[in-house]
Amino acid sequence: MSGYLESLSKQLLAGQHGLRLVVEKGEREILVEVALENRKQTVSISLKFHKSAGCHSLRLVSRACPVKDHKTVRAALLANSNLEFGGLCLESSTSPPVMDVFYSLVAEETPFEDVVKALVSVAQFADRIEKRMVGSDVF
Amino acid sequence: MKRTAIKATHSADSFQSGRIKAIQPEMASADLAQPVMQTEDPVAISFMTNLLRIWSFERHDLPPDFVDEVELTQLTRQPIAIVRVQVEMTSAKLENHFEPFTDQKVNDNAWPSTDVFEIRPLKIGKFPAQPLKERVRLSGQESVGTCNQCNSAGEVPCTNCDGGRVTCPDCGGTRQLICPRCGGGGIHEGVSGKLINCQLCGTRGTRRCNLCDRGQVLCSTCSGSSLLTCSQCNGAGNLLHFWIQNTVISSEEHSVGLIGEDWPVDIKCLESESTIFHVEQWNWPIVNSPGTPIQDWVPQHLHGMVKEALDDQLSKCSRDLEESERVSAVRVKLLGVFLYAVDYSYFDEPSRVYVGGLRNRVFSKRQTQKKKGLFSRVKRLGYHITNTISNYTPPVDKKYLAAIRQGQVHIGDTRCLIPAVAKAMIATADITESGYDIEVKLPRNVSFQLKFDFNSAGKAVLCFQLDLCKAERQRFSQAMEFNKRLAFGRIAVVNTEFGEMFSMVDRREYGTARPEQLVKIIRGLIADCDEIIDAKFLF
Repeated sequence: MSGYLESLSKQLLAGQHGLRLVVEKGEREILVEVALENRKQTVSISLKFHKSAGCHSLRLVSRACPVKDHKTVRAALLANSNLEFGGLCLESSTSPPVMDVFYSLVAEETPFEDVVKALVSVAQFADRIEKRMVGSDVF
Repeated sequence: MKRTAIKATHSADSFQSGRIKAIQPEMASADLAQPVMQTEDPVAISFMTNLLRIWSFERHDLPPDFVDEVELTQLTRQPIAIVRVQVEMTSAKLENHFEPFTDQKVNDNAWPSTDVFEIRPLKIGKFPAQPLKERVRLSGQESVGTCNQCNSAGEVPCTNCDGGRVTCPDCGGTRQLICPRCGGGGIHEGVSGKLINCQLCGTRGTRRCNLCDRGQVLCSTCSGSSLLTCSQCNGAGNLLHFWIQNTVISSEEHSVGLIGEDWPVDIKCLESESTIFHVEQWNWPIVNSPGTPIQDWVPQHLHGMVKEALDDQLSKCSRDLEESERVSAVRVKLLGVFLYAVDYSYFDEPSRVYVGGLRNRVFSKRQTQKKKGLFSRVKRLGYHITNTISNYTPPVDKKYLAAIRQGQVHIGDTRCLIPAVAKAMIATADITESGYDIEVKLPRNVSFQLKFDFNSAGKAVLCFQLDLCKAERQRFSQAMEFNKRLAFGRIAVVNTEFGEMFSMVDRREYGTARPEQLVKIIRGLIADCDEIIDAKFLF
């Protein structure tokens, strides 16, 4: 799977998917800026092998908003039980801590179209949270 | 609301799909007030369509292509309320009995009550299905009296003899027995064939009876004593009087169905397939108020109906009561369930069935037949040609329908995906009301739920849930942060019957999921759960 991210970034850059994307290929991740109705949202795509699952997971993460109190954490955990797509996690290495939207796919068996669909869904969902909680378009 | 006096034109089929939570969700008594309404819930519509197909699969009055062609056009739902009134009747009678008195202890204590029902605690309020008969010897109010048969003598004259002797049964009192050799003739045929004089009786023809004494023998009944032990007091001379209480407890029941709109279904068939909201019971005396006021457990619009049903049944049971009978308990049950009117069309021909009860019983009448008109035949032919050319796949797999009927797959699992996943994981998959309970044996025992749901786009979603531990507030941030490390899924706080729990949750679109992909995801989820549990991370 060494060339998977490389190949994925090429496919994304090829622009066959009809989306407006800015792709930045790093060593371990790809950063994709997805254009959404007058707003933008950055999604990080990384690849990780999971021995227990016997597969690589393609992880899509997008920053949603800063977390200011414990109520937000509780609300996010409750929301996680019924979210239609992906989940919410806490990144406390930043100050203030932030909430990310994430989603994982089985890299080996996921068609490119499904990756694009997931990418857009993660970006839209994170941006919706950001818009509602913060209002401005930071991430 | 109307009481059920509707002519039931739709009879209850033997077909039942089993509980499907999306169609028969948990009900509360307040839901009985819901009006008749159309449902747009995609889960309910999808499952009901499949239910319709499964039901039709082996029906001979439906054409073979019904399964592929049926289209659900409208789904309407209304709650039905059922009030079941059970009345328990108790009959109690006293019987006077006696036994020989042989110096045993006499319990002459007075009974606690003069009321025959109150002498001892009766097993009332059980509403037995079959009459419960009981004969119990009562303690107390015993007395000793003389035996009126022997006047305390303990013995009575023998009725078989006179003075202890009876006429000899062999000779009848004549003391003479007929000679057994000559038969009373005095002569008999000798060896030579000539008549000879009887040597045994000396030609007298009789012999003396050796068994009796002057034609009489001792009486075998009294052994010659001419007295018999009194059979009533067994020789004791006195009798102990005691009482036996004879009780019969039986119950009668009557149900009343309450329905908003007249649908031609005998809703009493659904009584055993309804949710019980409340059971209220009054024991004797039933004039007392119930423990819980009726207003607290019966929705307001049903007050009148419940009261009427109760009064009807009570007056019916109390009408011909004898003095030894009484109504000993009353039980009122409030039940309810959703009933659906399922409108469908088959080649533009509309029809309707009703589905109700927790196990989704179908009520139908003779169904849509194959159209035989020329236009219809041409239309069907065109349809089949189109399908053949376009390599058309029917909406429902026959294998799925067969698997449903055999109880192998959940109604939402139209691709029979989960049994395949379970097989690949060497796990067992038990069908539940909302999906499956999966039990993985290796590397260690793990159980989790796979439920079916639909997303906002109306697409079926497979929901994985594995409860981890109680959700402690101080661990919320840790749990949220741990989500970064997970291969798949996320930790969520889920409200369960045990309170708020940390659970591993994952949702995947069912339509695009592949078994091998699901196996990997589930293995990853279980491994992450193991890590959390082993490290006692959230405990």
